[in-house]
Amino acid sequence: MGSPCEVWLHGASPDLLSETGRWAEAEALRLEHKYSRYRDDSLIGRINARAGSGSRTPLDEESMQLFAYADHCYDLSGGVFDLTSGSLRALWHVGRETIPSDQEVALALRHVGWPSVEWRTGELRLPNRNMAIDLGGVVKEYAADTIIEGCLSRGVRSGLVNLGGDIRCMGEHPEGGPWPISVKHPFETGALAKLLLDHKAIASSGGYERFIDIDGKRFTHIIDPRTGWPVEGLAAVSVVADQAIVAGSLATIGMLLGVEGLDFLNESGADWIAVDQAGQIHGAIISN
Amino acid sequence: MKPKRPGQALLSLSAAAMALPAFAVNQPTETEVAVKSSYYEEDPIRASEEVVVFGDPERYTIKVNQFYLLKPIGANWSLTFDYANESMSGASPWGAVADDEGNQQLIMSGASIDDSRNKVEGTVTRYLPESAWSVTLGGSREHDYRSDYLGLAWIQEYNLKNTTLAIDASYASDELTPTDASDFGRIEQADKTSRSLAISISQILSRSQVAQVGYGVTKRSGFLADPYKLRDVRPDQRLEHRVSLGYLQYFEPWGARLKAEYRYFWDSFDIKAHTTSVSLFKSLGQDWDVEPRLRWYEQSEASFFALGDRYDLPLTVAQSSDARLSSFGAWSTGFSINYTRDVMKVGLSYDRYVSEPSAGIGSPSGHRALMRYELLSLGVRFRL
Amino acid sequence: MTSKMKCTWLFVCLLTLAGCQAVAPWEREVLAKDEMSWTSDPLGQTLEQQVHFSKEAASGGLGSAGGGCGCN
Repeated sequence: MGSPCEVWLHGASPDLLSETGRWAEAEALRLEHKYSRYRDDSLIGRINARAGSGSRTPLDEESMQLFAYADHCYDLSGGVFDLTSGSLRALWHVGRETIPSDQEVALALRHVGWPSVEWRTGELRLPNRNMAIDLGGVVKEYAADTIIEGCLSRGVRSGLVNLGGDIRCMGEHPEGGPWPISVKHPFETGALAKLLLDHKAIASSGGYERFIDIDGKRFTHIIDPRTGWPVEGLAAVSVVADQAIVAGSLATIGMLLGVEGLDFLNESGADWIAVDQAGQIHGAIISN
Repeated sequence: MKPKRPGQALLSLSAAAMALPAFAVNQPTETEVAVKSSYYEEDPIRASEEVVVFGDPERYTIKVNQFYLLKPIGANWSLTFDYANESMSGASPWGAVADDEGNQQLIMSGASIDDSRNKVEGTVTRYLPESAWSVTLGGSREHDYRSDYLGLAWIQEYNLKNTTLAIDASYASDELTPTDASDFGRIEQADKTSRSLAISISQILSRSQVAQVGYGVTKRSGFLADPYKLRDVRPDQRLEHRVSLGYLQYFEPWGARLKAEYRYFWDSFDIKAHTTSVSLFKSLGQDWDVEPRLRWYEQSEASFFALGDRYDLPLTVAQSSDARLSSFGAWSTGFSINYTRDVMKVGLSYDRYVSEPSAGIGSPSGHRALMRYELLSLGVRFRL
Repeated sequence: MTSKMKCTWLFVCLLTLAGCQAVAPWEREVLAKDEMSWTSDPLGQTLEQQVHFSKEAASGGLGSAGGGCGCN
């Protein structure tokens, strides 16, 4: 998944814990292999390789539902949550020394646009040769949910899953009580927020870890698919929700909307916290 | 394009996420335990013109205690366990006599019974991505009646789970061993079997509306008469049909839900019945809700119904003065109040049932023993 | 009502139901409420069916299963 992942389980017999732990690891690997855009043999790899060729890739139930979920996020976010926006990364790649011209941006935007992807029939077709789907963010969070739900139905009821910063927990911390989580501050050392998670998930979106400098100006690696330009506004967003996938989508959408994202997060109904480029903190995560 | 409905983003995404395979198993995710205690009391027969030849006009009182457990097992199974205990005391008419003007006079027995019934039932359900099947086994025991039954059910979902088809089949084998059989010339032992098949389709019409249509058929064979009546002879087969319609609608601005149901019943005893019920559920704040309800029932009389026992007819000819086979109508009104806190929900409900002897289908039978009763229940449910 | 009329009527009901637009999984928050299920109180429903079965000639219908009591 490209980042450190850990699964903590306790509160059941050693046999059950190790069996469930093995299942969790296998499940995380399964999802990674299936949806990784870096592998030629993954579903996403095959879909992207066939872009523009006219051939359709059959989708299984799980993939169908993930795309349906992403489609819903596209609608809900007003078009900023777009699985095809990954190709804009090539435009704003690390090592770039000049700001792209309007023509370059317009050209890149031709390969972006979730509505033009055909998937509803159960077979996916990317109409344009340079289009590519990236499910990476969604799958990481979905994996956290799959693991927790799978543990619960196997009778393991206490634990925590942390897949590259997307966290979901259940039951009690080994020392009793809810799980203490600290959210890293984007600029300063130390924590942005400390909270206790009780059967919830927290996911974060942050542009502060990767950025490029062009002509002395700093650009984040999060590109707005509506404009083709990197997003300005927020440096980091963290959202708490019952499911990791929901927390993650809300965080991503909040981040992608830039300054508008603060209103979106405020009205969403979830607990959230964000830091803008000036270092100001917005929102508050309430410890439950 | 502006984001739409941001205020519901959390709810909307959570509901969307539920469709994903990690969450989407139809299997219930929580264990449910419920207990309920109920008290049922019939009104005494209105004394005026009835001539009570023997005994007490007091009717039945019944106390019922119920227990229910639903437990998810593994990722694809669930187990349900149901137990009920009823203790009843009271009497129902032994027989009837019709005088020259066709008015009925009831004969009540001298003794009132004190009896109890225990029922145990278990169901195992297996959940698949788009369907589920279940097996039910149960038994009911009273000192003079035993029933054992088996049920099989299959549910299949279509159209992104917007359409649900359900098929239920059941078989029951009952045995009657009436008390004091030799003293009163009753049969000592008799058997009865029931076989049922039902099919229903439930369809989601919109985000806040659901409709259901169903058809069921039951065949009963064996001893179908009431062994405690002085004179009650019935055919040894009964074929029943029922067609049902149901409708649910939620009104989001008011936090209210309307439920309406209609059933048309017809059988080989020549009985036809309409049943219509409506209930309105309303949330009051975070923790409370109320549900008033109304039901109207009307039935026609059986082809062999006799207002007064017909001793002139041989025992090979069907006849019964049983109120349940007469023509009558009945109103039922009731309400429930529930309080929910955390994992616990407490509910109190009250229902009043009043028969209207002249409001049945076809000309009124004029039965005098039609009942009125009250039912009060208190229940607690935990979802863990 | 004749048998044939009953069958036609049932069929029409089914056709009407089948012509509806599917509600997507993410639009289900209202439908998921307890009060929007056909049997939100299994014990209450069993009790009610039992009482009616002992008083009325008609029985069965939506959401009912087998299992007899001694009320012939």
